[in-house]
Amino acid sequence: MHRDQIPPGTLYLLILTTLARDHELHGFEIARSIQSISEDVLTVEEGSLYPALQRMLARGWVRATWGTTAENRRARYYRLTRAGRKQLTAEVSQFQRVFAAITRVIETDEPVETA
Amino acid sequence: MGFFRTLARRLWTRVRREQQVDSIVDEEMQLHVALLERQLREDGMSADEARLTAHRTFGNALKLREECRDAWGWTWLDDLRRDVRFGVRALTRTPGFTATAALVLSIGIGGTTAMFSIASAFLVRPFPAPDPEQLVVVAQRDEHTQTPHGLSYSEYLDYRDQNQVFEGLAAHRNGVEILAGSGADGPAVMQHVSPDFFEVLRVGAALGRTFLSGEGPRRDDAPVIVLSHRAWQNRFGADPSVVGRVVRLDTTAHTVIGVTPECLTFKNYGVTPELYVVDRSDGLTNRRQETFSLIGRLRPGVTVAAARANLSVLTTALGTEYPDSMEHSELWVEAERRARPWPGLARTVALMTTLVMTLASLVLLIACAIVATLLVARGIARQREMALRAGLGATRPRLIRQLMSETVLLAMLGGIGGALVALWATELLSTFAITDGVVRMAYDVRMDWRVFAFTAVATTLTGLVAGFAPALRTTRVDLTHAIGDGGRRASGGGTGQRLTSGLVVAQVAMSLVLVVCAGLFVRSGQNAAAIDLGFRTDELLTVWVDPLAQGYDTEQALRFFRDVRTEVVALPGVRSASWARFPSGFAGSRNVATLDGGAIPETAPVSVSWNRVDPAFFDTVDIPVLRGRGFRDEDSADGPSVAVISETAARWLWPEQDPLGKRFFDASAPERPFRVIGVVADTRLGTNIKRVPALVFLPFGRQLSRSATLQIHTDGPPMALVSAVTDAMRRRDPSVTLFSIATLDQFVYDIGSLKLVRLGITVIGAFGALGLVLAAVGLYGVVAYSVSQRRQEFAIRTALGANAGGIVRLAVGRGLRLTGFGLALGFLAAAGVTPLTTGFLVNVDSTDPVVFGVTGLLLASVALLACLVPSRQAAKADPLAALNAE
Repeated sequence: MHRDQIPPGTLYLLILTTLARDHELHGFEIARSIQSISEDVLTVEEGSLYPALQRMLARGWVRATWGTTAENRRARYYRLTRAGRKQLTAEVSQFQRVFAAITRVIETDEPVETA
Repeated sequence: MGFFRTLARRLWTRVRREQQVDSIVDEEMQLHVALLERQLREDGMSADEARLTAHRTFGNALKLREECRDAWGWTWLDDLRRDVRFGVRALTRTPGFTATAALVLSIGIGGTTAMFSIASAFLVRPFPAPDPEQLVVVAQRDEHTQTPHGLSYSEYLDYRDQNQVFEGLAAHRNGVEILAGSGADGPAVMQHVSPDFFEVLRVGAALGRTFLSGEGPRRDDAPVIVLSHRAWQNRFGADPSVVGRVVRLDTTAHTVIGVTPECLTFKNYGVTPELYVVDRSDGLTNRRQETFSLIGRLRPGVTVAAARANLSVLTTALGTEYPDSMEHSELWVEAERRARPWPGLARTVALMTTLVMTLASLVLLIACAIVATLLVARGIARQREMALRAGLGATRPRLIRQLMSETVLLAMLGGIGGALVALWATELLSTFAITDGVVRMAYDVRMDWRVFAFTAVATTLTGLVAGFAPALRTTRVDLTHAIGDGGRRASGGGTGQRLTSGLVVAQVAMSLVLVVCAGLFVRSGQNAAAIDLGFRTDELLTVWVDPLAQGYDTEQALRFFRDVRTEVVALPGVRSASWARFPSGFAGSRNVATLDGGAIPETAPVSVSWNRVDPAFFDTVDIPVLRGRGFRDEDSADGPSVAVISETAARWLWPEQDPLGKRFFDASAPERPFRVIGVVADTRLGTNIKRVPALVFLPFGRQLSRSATLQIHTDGPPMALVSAVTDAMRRRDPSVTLFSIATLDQFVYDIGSLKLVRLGITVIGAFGALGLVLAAVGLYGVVAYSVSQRRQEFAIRTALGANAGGIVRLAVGRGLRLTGFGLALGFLAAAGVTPLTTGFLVNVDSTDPVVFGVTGLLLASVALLACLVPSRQAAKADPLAALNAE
C-alpha cells in the first residue's frame, strides 16, 4: 500500500523520538517534525499519523490534552508518558538488535576475505 | 501488566468515548488539513491547488477515521490467535510428548477436581433457597459422644416462641412409612415437619402449594402431604394432576397438596426425604421424646454467634422452668453450611476433605513437575529456534508468552481430560452411600458449575506453574553462541540440570507423602478387618419388617413375629432364628442412670447403646453369656423389667461390683427401672468399630417399637435362603413389606466406619498408587534424558576403556542421589501431613515407623529401577554410533 512506504512499527519510533525531543506537540507539528528529522527520506502519508497516535493512546504511551495553537485554534497536544519513554528505549534497542542480526547474517553468508 | 492496563483503557474508552473518538479525530484531522493547506498557499500555491494537494497528501480521511476507531479495538485477539496457532503447531509436531504430558496432567487435574466436588457438596454449595446464609441448624450436643441429638417438640415451641434472633424456626424429623396409592408403592423416607417448615426455608411449591403456618398439628385436620420432586417423578410418573390425589401413608389417608421444586435437595442427617407431612404424632407433647432437628432463619443482621448466645440463655431458663425434664445440654447452633451432614460431623468431613484435597493437589503438583521436566528437556532442544526468533526481533517477554501459550494449551488438553476423569470419578463417588435398603445417607457429589470453574482455574494455574520456569529457562539464550554451534553446547547448561534436579527431588518427596498416607490407610484396613466384632457375621441372613406400620396392633404383631419365627426355624438349612429391634452390630442410644450404689447419678446420665432382643438372640448371633443368664420367654411378660448388659456397660455402671441384681433406669422414665439378670461379652457396633460401646439388651416382646429384624443363622450361604424366607413370611401375611433382606455381613460392612475406612483406602490408596507411578515415570524420564545428553561423554569413556558397570554406576549415581534428597525431604513433609489422617486410622499411629520405612524402601527400589533401565541401555550403546550421531 501507498501508506506503508516506511517499515511498519518505525512510525511509532519516529513519533516517540519526536515527542521525546519536543515535549508537547499537536498532530500537524509532529508531521512536520518527522519530515524534518527524516529529511523527507521517509514519506509519510500524513493522515496515517492519527491512527498511530490513537493506538499509542490505547497502549498508554502518550497522553493527549486540548490546548490552543499560536493562532488561537483548538488542537490536541500529545506528550509522552512514562510507559512511552520506556517503549522508546525498547524500540530503539530492538531496532539495533534487528539491525545487528541482519548485519551478522549478511556477514556469515558472505565470508569476508582476509588478506 | 501492560496488557491488562491496555485492556482496561480500551474497555473504558469503549464504554465512555466511542462516539468521542470519532469527533475528536475528525476535528484534529480537519485542523491538520487546514494548516497544511495554509502552508502550501504560503509556499505559493493557488487556493484550489493547495486544497487538492493538502487532501491528497493527507490521505483518505474516512478510512483513517475507521482505523482510529480500530486502534481501540481488539487487536490482542489477533495476537492470541497467532499464539494459539503457533502453540498448536508446536504441539502437533511432537505428538508423543503432547500425549504423555496431557495424560499426566489429566490425571492430576481430574483427581483434584473429583476431590473438589466433595468439598463443593459439603462445604461450598449454598442451600438451594433464597438467602441461604441466614439458615441455621440447631441440635442438642451429647456431652459423652459429642454427637448431636434431637429436641422435643415442646422444647422446639419454647425456643421458637422465646428467641429474639430468628425470623422463623422450624422443626423436622426423619421417618419411614409405607406409601400406598401411588404408581410405585413401598416404604418411603418421610420428613415430619412443623407447619412453617417451607416458610422458614422460603421454598415455594413447584406444583400446588406447601403447608400453611396454621396447618396442623391438630388431629382433626385433614392430613395433607407434599411430594418431593423426586417422589413425584418416580412414584407418580410426574402426573401434572397429582394435586388432590389421596394416598395412604401406613394406615392414614393423606391428600397430596403440592410438589417441591426440583432444586430443593433438603437433607436431614444426610437423608433426603421423599415426602413431607405436618407432624401430628402422639409424641408432640412429650418433653422426653427428643427426635426433632431444628432449622431456623436468622433475622437480617443477626450473626450465628449472637443466635448461639441467645439460645444458650434460653436453655438455662428452660432448665429452671422444667427441672424434672431431661438435663438440658448445650445446643449446637451452626450455620447450615457448617453443619453438613450434621453438626459435629461437619468438622470431620472438613478434615477429610482437606486431607484428600491436599493429597490430590500433591498428585497435580507431581504432574506439573513431570511436565515441567519434559518442557525443560524439550526447551533445550529448541534453543536454536528460540535464538533464531530472538535474532529476528522477538523480545524475551514475547518468546515467553509464546512458550506459555503452548503450555496453557497443553494444560487445557489436560483440563479436558481431567474433566472426563473427574466425571467418571464423581460418578463413582456419588454411588457411595450409607444405606440399609430404604434409608439412604448420601451427599450430592456431582459436577456443578463450581466444580467446572475449579477445573478451569486449576487448568490455567497448572499451565502457568508447569510452564513458567521452563519458559524462563528456554528463552535465556545467548544469540551468537546458540546459533553458532548448532545449539549443542547449550544443552549442557547448568541451570537446566539444576532445574530438573530440583523437580525430581520435589517429585520424590511428594510421592513419598502420598504413598505414606496410602500405607496408613491400607494398614487401617488390615487392622479393621482383623478386629473381632464379637458376634457372628457370616451365615446370617437379616430381614427388616415393620408390621405396626402396616396397621397391625401389638397383639397381631406379636403373633406375626412368633408365627414367622416358628415357620422360618422349621425351614431346611436354618439353624436358628431370632427377632431383634436392630440387627446385631447396630443399636439405638439412650441416657441411663443407676440405682443400687452405681456410678451414674440421675443428674448426669450416660449414653449407652441399646437393642431389644428375643431369647434366641445371643445364641443365634453367637454372643457368649458370661454371668447370670440370657432372656427367657417370661421376661417379656408384665412384671419387673429385666436387662442383660455387656461387660463394658457393667464396668461403666457398677465399677468393680457385681452387676447381677442391680438396677438402672432410662433417664426419661425413672419410675421404671431395669434389673440386670446377665452379663454378655462385649461386641462392637458397625457404626464405629474403634470403640467398645456399653450395650444394654432389653426383652424384645416387652415393648414393640417401629421395625424389627429377624436374624437367621443358616447352614451354608445365607442368600440361598432368601426366597424360602420370603415365602414363609408371605404365608403369614401376603401383603407384608420386606424393607430389606441381606446378609449381616453386608449390613455391618456397608454401614458406618468400615465403609469410611474402605472409601479412604480406595481413594487415598489410588492417590498413593498414582504418586508411585508418577514418581517412577518422572525419575525414568529425567535419568533417560540426562543419559541421552551424556551419550557422547559415555561413548568417549567407553572408547577410553571404561567398562559398562562403571558407566551404569555413573548414570545411576545421580538419580539415586536425587532420590535420597527427595526421600529425606518427603519424610519431613509426610510427618507434617499425616496428623490429618489420625481421626480416620484404625489402630495405627499417624507416624507408624513400619509404614514410613516400607514406603521409603518401596520408593527407593522403584527409583533404582527407573534409573537402572536407561543407564544400562546407555552403557550397552555402540560408542561409535553415539559419536557419529551428531
